[in-house]
Amino acid sequence: MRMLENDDADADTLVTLEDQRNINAFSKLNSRSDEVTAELESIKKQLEDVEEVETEMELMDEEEEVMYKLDSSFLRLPAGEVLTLLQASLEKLRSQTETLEKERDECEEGMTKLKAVLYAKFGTSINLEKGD
Amino acid sequence: MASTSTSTATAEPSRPSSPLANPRGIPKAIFLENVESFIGGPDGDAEESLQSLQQVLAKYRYMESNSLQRRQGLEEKVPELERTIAMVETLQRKKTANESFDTTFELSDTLYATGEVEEVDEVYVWLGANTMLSYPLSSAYTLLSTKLAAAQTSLSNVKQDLSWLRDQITVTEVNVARVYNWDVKRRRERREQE
Repeated sequence: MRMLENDDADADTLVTLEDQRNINAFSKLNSRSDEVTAELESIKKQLEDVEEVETEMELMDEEEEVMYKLDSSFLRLPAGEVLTLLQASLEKLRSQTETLEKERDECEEGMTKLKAVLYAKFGTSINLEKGD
Repeated sequence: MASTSTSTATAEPSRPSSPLANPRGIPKAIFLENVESFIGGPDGDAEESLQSLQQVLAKYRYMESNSLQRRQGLEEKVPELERTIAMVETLQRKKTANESFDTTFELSDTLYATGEVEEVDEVYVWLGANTMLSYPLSSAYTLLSTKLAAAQTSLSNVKQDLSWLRDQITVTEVNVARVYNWDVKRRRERREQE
């Protein structure tokens, strides 16, 4: 997204430092919100995978060995131990998801507020919508 | 947030929140209070001003692409270190429990072999520059944790830089648009006068 003012002289509005600050804040929230959305997507995918595996693992005999992938190697560990490791990573992923969702909502909220302020001042000579 | 370094102590104490550069020395873009006086009066050269603003913009964009690359590198490095630390933790846990375990480890991209890992006291850490050093488990853990912390700090610095650059790019883009609009308006007024 780019904030280009329309070169229509009728809409020639004076830009103040305050406006500039609002535009900056909007621009930062906008790019952060894109990042957060991408991160959330990848973490949610991981979370789904781990959740699925965890459900399967709970049905297994604790002593039975499974291959647990760590970096590039597979470790043969008892199912009970792997379950603990999986639960730890589940917890981590869940709290990450929560933090990111909260941040995304804050970004959206901030952007909505700034949009109202900036559109009120600049009308059609500013474009704050997504898409090229 | 970290306070500004002492090197900016000469800045006006009344406006400590707006330093002229960020902690890594990336300069702040000027906001044009008045387009006409920036161009140099009602008959100033808008073309020249636009060119200099475009140059500033190109410099910021260059810094942005460098920082993006750095961020990408660090975003790969951090999880890599985290995985290595997880492995060291597993070795420590197994050692404390006096257990051995079997592993299927990677020999090459598509080739794996199995092996038994008995009680491990030392691991070899690849330091780069064709060097690998052996460390007792606990020292390896400390070393890797330090490296992870350093990588995380660099990552957060790069992110701060990018957000700072974002601001400066936005200011400069708005400046370009304002100078351009001002020039269009002046042309139109002159045409009407003729």
